Amino acid sequence: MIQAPPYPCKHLEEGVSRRTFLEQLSLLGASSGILQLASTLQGSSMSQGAPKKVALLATEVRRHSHAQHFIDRLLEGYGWHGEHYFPQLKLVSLYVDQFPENDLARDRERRHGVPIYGSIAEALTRGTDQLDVDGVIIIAEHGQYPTNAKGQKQYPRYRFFKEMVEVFERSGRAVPVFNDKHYSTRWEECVEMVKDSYRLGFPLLAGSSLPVTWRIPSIDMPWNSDLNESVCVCYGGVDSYDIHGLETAQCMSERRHGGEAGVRSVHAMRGRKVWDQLASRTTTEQLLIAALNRSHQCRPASGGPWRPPSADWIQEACPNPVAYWIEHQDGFRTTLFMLNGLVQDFTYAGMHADGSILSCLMHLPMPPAHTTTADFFNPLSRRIEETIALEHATYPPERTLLTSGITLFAVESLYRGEVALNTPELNIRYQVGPRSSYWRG
Amino acid sequence: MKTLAFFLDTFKEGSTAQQVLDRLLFGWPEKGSIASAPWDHIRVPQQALNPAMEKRLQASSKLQLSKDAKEATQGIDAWIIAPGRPESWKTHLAEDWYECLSNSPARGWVIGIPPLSWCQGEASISPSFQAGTPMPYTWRLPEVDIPWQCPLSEIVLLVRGAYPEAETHGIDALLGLTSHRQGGESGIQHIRLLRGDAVWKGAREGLFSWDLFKAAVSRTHSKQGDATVDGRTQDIVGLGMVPDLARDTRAWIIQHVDGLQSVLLTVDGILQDETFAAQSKDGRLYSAQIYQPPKPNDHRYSRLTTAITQYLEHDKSTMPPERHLLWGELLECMDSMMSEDILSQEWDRARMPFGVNRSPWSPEGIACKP
Repeated sequence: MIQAPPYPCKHLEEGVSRRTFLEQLSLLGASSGILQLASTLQGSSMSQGAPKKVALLATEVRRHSHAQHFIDRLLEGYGWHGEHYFPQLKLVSLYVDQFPENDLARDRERRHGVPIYGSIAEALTRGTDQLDVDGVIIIAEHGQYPTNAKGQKQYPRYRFFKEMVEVFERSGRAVPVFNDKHYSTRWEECVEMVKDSYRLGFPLLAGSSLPVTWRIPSIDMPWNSDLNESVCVCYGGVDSYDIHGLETAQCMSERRHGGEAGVRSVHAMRGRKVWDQLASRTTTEQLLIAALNRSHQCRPASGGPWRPPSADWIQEACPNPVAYWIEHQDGFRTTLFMLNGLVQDFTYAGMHADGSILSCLMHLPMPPAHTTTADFFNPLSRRIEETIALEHATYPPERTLLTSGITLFAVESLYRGEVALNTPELNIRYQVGPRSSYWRG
Repeated sequence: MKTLAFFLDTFKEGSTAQQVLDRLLFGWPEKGSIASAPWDHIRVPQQALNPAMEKRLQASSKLQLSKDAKEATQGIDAWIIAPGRPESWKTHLAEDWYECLSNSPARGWVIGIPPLSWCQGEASISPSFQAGTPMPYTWRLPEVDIPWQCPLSEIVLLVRGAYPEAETHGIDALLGLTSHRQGGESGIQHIRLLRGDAVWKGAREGLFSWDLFKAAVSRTHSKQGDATVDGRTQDIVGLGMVPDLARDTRAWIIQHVDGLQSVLLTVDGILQDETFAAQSKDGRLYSAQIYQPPKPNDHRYSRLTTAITQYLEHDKSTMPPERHLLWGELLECMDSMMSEDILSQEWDRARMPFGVNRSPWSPEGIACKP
């Protein structure tokens, strides 16, 4: 079982004490030797006021690749709280794994003088033999990588991470890290990555932009609520957008009474089976409809005007749905619906013990159709900055460990013929604090 | 049995009439559920519908077709006019509507700007009606409003589009943001029009707040320029790119009697969404994007439909007739300034001060922000 400590939610406006950090590490069961190392590592704080130096490790940088979004926000700033905001981070080095024909990494290197190094170790040490940055941002999304028999694209997140950890170990110093999306495509690797952060005592922030983007309406799950069930309705592919949908649900579900209790089973299925299963789940069906009622991009019947989506239309519009049915250790339930053909956005609905429903749209203004700059990366960029500046992850890495695990087991479930899988590995318990982290200012 | 009369001049996909009438007939999403119109019958004069549209709408049991406007208004509880063509107000259609509604005891809503005569004097429609587009009602990112009784000193509203559509929607949004300020609307003193390069020259000379312009631009999700080429998030204002990006820019600088300066600025070529920034006399700043949800659903109309039904059914009015009069007179003034190339105009109409007791906008959900 992975048992995380209660997690105080820190924001940039707040300070975080070294003592709190060490207390957390102690709660994690770290040995005295590790605590001593962590204490040493954390003690090497940067001078106040100077921008923190960061390295960004990318798979590829082209228009609208994830890395482009993050790099440009670091270099060019972004809209935040009514001003064009320039992060107090200095991007000092890049490692880029691939250079497609439409590469922009070299353009940014030339334009802003940020060097691209030939290896991860060089990007982190910058011509020295020691770690020479204050934070690392890993954006291993997009690019040409092999796909395995299960349909998982083998993005090199684990490889990037381990090469970074090697530098940390060699330098006797570790710094805050952000890992974009899920950790890896193998469960053991995901666990190892999180445990590396425990072992070396560096703050690890991970996951999707969905938990932190605008919400319409601007609501959060009341902290400590008696939530029974969560549903996310979204679109996209397996091992791709599913992680976004799972994080959409999880950032709400984890605020329930007692916090996250872990997941005991995952059952993924496609097509007709989804609707058959749904027919036996009254509350899930209610939540599906409630989530769809929050959608701004639910395809109208027959291409006509908007209509309340009927059960017949939902099935007609989406002949090949994918659903993940997730049972948690405490009896809580999560269902993820990927309804390609019906919706093109991410919506959430959760049901409380009294049957009341809280629902919202996680606003994802996607370029190029609806925006030019994918500004849902603004709040995530801000959370990364907070994590590096405060040396404390804004929300716990266990969230993304759990959603990574659900993603992997859902892929496995589909691969094995849509069977239900018991998941003792996902006995991951963690709690978040009451403060919200989504974009509302 | 309660009946609503719905008047329109054209019914095509994406039109205001389609967006609202469809919702009234079939329901619309409101606070996570589906709302339904409180009228048993929604009566539509048949001549505005083509056979295909008529067939589609008849899927709703609420639809009642009538031969003409006169028949449509018999015994109604409420009415809506949703013209798709501004010129309809100058045709016999508008005359028919007026004739039928001027003596009707039912409350009504005009989606758009009604003729000025409908709002004042002996010819005014009684008891009263509301007028408005989705602009004052749609979601904002973030959920920010100008507080009631705020001592507002300046507001800059960025809109896009050709004249007069941008101005029509822009003034509606502007009055929705400013009418509940301290003292209410005090009336207009002066209007100034800057066009093209004169807008940026005026900004350099301090004719409007550059800080508020910057704040409003920061709320966009669709800045133009290099962002369209390679996704760059650059500071288009700070880098001085705005004048080069701008196309057919119009800045309307409106001086109110109480000292408020409202600036309506078209930003084609710069942004592709609508935003605002405002400052109070005590230095507080407010800014947000006025959210335009994707088409074809365009759920701004869900918010508008909710506002319309709340007014028609429960008399939850937000704006007095003087507000519609001011909206219309401002547009009339702008029209003469545009056509006669007038760049500065003293306001020679009645001051039309009015107060409102609340903002037309409200957040949709109860925000939980521990």
